Amino acid sequence: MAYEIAIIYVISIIFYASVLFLVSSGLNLIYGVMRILNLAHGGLYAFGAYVGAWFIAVVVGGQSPFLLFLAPLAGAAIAALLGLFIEPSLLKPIYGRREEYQLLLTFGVLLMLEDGLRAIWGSAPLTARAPFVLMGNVNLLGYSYPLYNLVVVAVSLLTALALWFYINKTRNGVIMRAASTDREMAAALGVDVKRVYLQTFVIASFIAGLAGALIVPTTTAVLGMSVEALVLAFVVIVIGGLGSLKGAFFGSLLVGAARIVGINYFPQVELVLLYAVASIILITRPKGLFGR
Amino acid sequence: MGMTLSESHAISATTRKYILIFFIAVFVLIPLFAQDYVLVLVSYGLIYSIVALSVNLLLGYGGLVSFGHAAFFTVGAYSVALLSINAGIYSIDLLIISGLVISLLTALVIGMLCVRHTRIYFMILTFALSEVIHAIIHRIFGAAGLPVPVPISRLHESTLLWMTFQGANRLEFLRGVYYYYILAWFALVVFIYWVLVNSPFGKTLQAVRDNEERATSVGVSVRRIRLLAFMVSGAFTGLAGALWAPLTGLVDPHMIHWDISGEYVFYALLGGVNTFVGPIVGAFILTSLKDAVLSITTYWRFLMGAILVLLVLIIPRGVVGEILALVSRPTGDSAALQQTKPLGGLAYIKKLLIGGDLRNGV
Repeated sequence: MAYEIAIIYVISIIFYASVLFLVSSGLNLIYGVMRILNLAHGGLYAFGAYVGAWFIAVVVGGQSPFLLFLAPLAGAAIAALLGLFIEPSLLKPIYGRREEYQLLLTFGVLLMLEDGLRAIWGSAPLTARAPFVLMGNVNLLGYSYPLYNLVVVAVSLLTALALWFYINKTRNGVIMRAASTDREMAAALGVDVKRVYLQTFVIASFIAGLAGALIVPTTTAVLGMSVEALVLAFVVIVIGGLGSLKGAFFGSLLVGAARIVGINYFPQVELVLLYAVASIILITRPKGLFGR
Repeated sequence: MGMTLSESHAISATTRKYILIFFIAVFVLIPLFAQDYVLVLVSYGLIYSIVALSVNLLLGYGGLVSFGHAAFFTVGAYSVALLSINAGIYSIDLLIISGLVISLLTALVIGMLCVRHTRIYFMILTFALSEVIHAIIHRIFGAAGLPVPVPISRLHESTLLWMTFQGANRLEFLRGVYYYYILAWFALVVFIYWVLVNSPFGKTLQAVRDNEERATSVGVSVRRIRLLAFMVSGAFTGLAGALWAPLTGLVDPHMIHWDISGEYVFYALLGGVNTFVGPIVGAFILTSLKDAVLSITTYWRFLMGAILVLLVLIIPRGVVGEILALVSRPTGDSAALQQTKPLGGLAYIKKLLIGGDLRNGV
């Protein structure tokens, strides 16, 4: 019995950590390269979720199960388009400015995205469980588990791998790291820093939208999900360290574990437990586990 | 970007005195001619001005962005509601002061966790910890909120200073005594903040903001000075919340919602973080604007977001900051400072349209 419970917990933690990683990796990528904490990231995630739910319910409408799996891409594409618009028009002018102004600007964008969602889709939650129901359950070590959740885990792992490969093994990644380490020097050596920033922002927005649209079949798209995700992503990056992809990975696992254990054993103070873990880590390691 | 503008640079002492007298007269005389609706709006403006000044002690003078001040406001307001419901306290003075003290203690605990960090970590921690308080309040006292008995069901038992309110109704209470009560607290808080920012404490806080290493090297305990500022700021924000509770008559967990904390920072930014009176002006502008907008459309957040974006891009010095910049004669000192300011207004739009480097060395 104890063995079975342990299995269930481990699977839940991995699923939950995958979701957190998808949300926090983009946030961390932007901070790592551009040194901006992009509060609008939560809004892009929520936009992805709404587009995904809308795509599943309206565009596909139960016609073709195959088309259903394009929903995450639709969400990601819309979020990337938004990113393509937001970075050059709003973020570019403030790169040299003080941090509080950068925070407030992205906060303003978050507010606009939130109300934008309400204007387009209204206040009622959107449900799109078709892919989740359609895929059914699988038998995992004697325990019946939704296959869709495993797909989420797989996509999250693939994203982590792809990001790692892109940053560490490709030419663009080298340029990105150079621009993040020393913007002035990279520019002097002929790197088009503006293009790197735009690329980074669009990639991060893409992942945020992907995350939203991918997750929406397992829950619902509601107003306020942007901030809920943002708060948890904050905890992840505070624990893992700002701007570190490795930090986002291990931070997600730790937060996932704290959350699942909290929900099951201390349901009354589950959030408090989470922040207690974060506070202890911040007090002992002020820059997080992998912060620079 | 340090204290690029101070009021003393731009406007002469005599003019400042007349402006001050004018506003004192306006606030004292308003109940004589204003409609109930306007008077309540002004009361809210005064309360939010206290919050704005408190946020700006950290933001403008301390260089710290708090995204969690709604927590202190809510703690202050809930203290009033709970003490009067559960402990049967109907002395408004005692309730307000209890709200202040309980917020002070909350700020001590949260501050000890937060002031170890600056910049983004500080912002994340204040944001996250206020979400914790949100979760706790939501879970213990429910989503529906609590009615505050003092101005409604228990008004005839309530006391304020030497006064009792036998036979009075809520509106008479709010319109007559309570408005002046808020005004008096407001004046006291403004006075304390004015003394504080011009005291050695205020100067040290600014020195820490401008250069932490240098301040440390001359023997300043950076953490202690930040903690003190955080506690003062949190306590007065709680005071504002405590004053707010009898005015609305209902406290609920929405008060601690993240966008409310954002609004508080917004007050200071809109008025101008590098001016003393800016946050007060910002609080009044935003309170009346919100009231006007909400009567037309529910898309208040979108408008607020758009204004915030434009504000950061086009008038980064805030309303009061820009006005002071306009009326001030550039002396040698401030002309040199002009060089390092972010592009404002038309210069920004021009650069945006024609192209060129929008960054500068701030």
